[in-house]
Amino acid sequence: MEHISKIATYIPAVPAPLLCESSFSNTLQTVTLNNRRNNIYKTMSSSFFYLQVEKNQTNASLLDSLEKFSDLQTKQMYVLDRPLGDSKYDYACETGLVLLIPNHKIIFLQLDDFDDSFDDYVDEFIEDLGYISNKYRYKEVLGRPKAWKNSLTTTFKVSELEGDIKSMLDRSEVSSDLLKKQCELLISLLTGSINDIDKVKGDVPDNILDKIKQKIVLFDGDQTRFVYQRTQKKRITIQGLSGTGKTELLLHKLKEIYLSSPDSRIMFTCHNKILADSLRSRIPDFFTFMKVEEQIKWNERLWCVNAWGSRYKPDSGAYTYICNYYDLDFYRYQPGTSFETICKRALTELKAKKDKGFAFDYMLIDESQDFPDSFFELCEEATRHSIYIAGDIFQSIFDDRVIAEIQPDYLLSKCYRTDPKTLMFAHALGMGLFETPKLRWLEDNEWKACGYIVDKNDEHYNLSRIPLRRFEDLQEDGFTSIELVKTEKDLNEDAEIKILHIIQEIQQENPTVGAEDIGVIFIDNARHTYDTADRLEISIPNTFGWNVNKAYETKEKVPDTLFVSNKNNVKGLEFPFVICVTKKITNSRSYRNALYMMLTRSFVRTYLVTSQDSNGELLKPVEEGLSLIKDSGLLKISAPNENEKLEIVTSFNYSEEFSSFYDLVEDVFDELDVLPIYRPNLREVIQKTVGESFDRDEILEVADFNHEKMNREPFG
Amino acid sequence: MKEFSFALDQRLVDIFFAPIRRKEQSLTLLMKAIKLMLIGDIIDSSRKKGELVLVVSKMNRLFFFSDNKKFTLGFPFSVTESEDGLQFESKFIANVDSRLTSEVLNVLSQERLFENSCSLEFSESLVDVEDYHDQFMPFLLDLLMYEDGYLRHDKDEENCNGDIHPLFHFDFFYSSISTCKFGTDSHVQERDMIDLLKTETNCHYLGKR
Repeated sequence: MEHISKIATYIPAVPAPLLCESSFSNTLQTVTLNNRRNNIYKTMSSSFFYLQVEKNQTNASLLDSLEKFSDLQTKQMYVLDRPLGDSKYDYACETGLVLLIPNHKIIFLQLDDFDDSFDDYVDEFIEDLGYISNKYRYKEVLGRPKAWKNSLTTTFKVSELEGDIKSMLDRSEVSSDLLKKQCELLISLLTGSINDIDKVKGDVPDNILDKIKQKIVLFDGDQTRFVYQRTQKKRITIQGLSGTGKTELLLHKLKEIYLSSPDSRIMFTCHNKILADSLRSRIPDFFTFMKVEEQIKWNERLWCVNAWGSRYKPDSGAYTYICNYYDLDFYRYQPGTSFETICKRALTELKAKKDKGFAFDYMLIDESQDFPDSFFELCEEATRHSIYIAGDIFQSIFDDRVIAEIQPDYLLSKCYRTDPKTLMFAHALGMGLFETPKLRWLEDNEWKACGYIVDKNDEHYNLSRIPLRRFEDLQEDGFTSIELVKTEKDLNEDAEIKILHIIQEIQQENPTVGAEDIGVIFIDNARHTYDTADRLEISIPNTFGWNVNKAYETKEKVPDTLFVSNKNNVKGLEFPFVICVTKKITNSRSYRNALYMMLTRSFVRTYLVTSQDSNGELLKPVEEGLSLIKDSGLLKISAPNENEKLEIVTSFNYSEEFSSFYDLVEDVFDELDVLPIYRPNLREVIQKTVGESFDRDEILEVADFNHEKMNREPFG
Repeated sequence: MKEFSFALDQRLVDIFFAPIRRKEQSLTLLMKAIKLMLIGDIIDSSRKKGELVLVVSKMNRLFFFSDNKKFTLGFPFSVTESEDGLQFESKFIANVDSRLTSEVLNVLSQERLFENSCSLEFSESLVDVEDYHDQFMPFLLDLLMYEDGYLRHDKDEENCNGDIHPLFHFDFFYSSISTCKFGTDSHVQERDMIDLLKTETNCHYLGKR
């Protein structure tokens, strides 16, 4: 209990639904959560409104109107009574509120005209904000409070508003780009969404690339709730598309827990070792950046390792640690042993133990889609308070469960990594929405979970996404965030020439562009991919003076180099410009999913380089669909009819889209441009080598290798 | 006997002439040289600062030439030539291509692999590559075990010190355990260096001063 009371004094006042979650009975908790979820599906706009203040009789009507206004106008709004992210701020005044809205002055609202403490509240709040600004070095660009107090803050008496929120907002709006930026900087400080001041700077750049790079990141309502809300639930899940900022949120959550529960033991884990290593090196940087003064006590208070680990190093994995802590049988990694099985065994053994205590106080789990549920159950059993689980909404766009059966507590529907138009095109191309038959169709609630606004008339769907603040500059300048570039047969389908041409274009449009602003990603796993990458390693330095980092060789991101990779080494990465290269858009599900993932890695523009001739008729509807997205921001599609839907579902169950081995091999031959004369022999070789397997990648390897051989004459 | 020559610009000279101290560095160089040879001789002669020469005869060797340094490595693959360029074949894998060389570079770049005490972690990183080519492990072992026959000739104005460290000298071997110097009176020309190592021509002799 002592622990809980500590938290209670720490947490800022929380909104009413949350208090229900943590204080009332389980029944009420479920009802409240479900209501909140329904709201998400109904309006999808809860991410616009964040309420820290506790609702009461005095403020309820005002807060309700503000929330409604924020939803209707899709305006980001935060209502606080003290800065988030630090526990030490406390004010005597109980009738003051602070309203934060990007592009508007900080609004102090006086709820009670006769409360004399309000003026002091405003002064003290501004003084504290000045202190935070100094702490994160924002003062260097903003100056002292006296420099911005008049231009960036204002006060209103609620009694004089007469419910007219619009007029209050009109009167508090700031006009110049510089003031807008300064206002966002202050909001970021008050919501704990700290930006690197050296990166975002204080001025307003004159070109698109720097405008977006220097855009101030603000948590939205959902994100802020995840970081600052406290609950006594054992398992808290957060799901979203990739690019919705889940890992970053886990880091913020980690910081909150680490600081607020001084003796707690925390395990931060994910499935993949490389990812865990990179997280471990990110944590000290993040803590330093967030000005955390407490020392990180590795393997004493904090662990950040992958899930499995090695037998003789108890601190090398979450499972290893748990086994060692409770003296359970440990099963080491070996082919044929699944993680699910070993977690189930450990769980059974652990449940049978008495007075076992807890290995950890909290656990944070990233990339939850990589784990079996038995791992979460094991973690729950070994953790005293809560486990926070973050994961993708789906492992692949072809997952038949778009939303997990148990709905997440937080569903992040806004993808901040890439411009909504790029995301729409990537979804459409990935799911084959421009084609007949389509490869994938989502139900209405699934579209909504993926952040779409569904407007339908019978079978005609108009899907759109809410524009994001991060990309507003792209809209204003009539900039396109996605381009299709076609290679030609006459130029030997040479992607290298096109890539060099695109880089030149990027350089001309963006004088400040550097080597590390561009990523070239090859989707095909064929040999021509590696050949082209090797040639780029010579031609890019020669043409642009930039060195190339082939990530599939180095397995890391190297500063000041142009990133070139296959589809396997881009997890978690994003670039202003991405050039995706694929010769032929095939129907394989793993391919389409990779295509979708790679297209969404840019935050300024993605180029899709593909062959005009190899794709035949496919490109025409794709280009039409793309141009509609660019012009109107709409994805106009007809829902598949019942037969088509059945076809999609059936093809799922068979998991392969080719009814015969022959068709699959033909499709591979088409991709490799194998001449008809070679096909019978090559088919025989493939059949002998791999059997009648439906593994497309394997067939492609064998076909590519032998096809190359057939084309060569030996030298003596 | 056949020779294939490839021009190197300053950037490639910097890459190929970085000091070699360990076997994985010489293997990295070997893989990068193969990549360059697969692309062809594409560096414009106006930018030429060095040269890579592959000599194919009874024994295959790679030679790297720059102004002050020349070195050579044994080349452990057989070579065929077609209209599309060169093709390299090993005992285990028929076509040492752009992808396979990248897979080797990836294994070599993971320093942890060589420093890690856990054999499973080492094998884990190879499993994916084996899915792509089941002979990868013997191929890699063969590379790690092959004697690379490193020999370098230097004109070293910076460190020269009488007969202890002659201005012109050969360095045999690269590790500090094995390396030793043999002085020469003058610059050794590219042709002489190739001839020195050829098994088909007359031997060269060392004489006392």
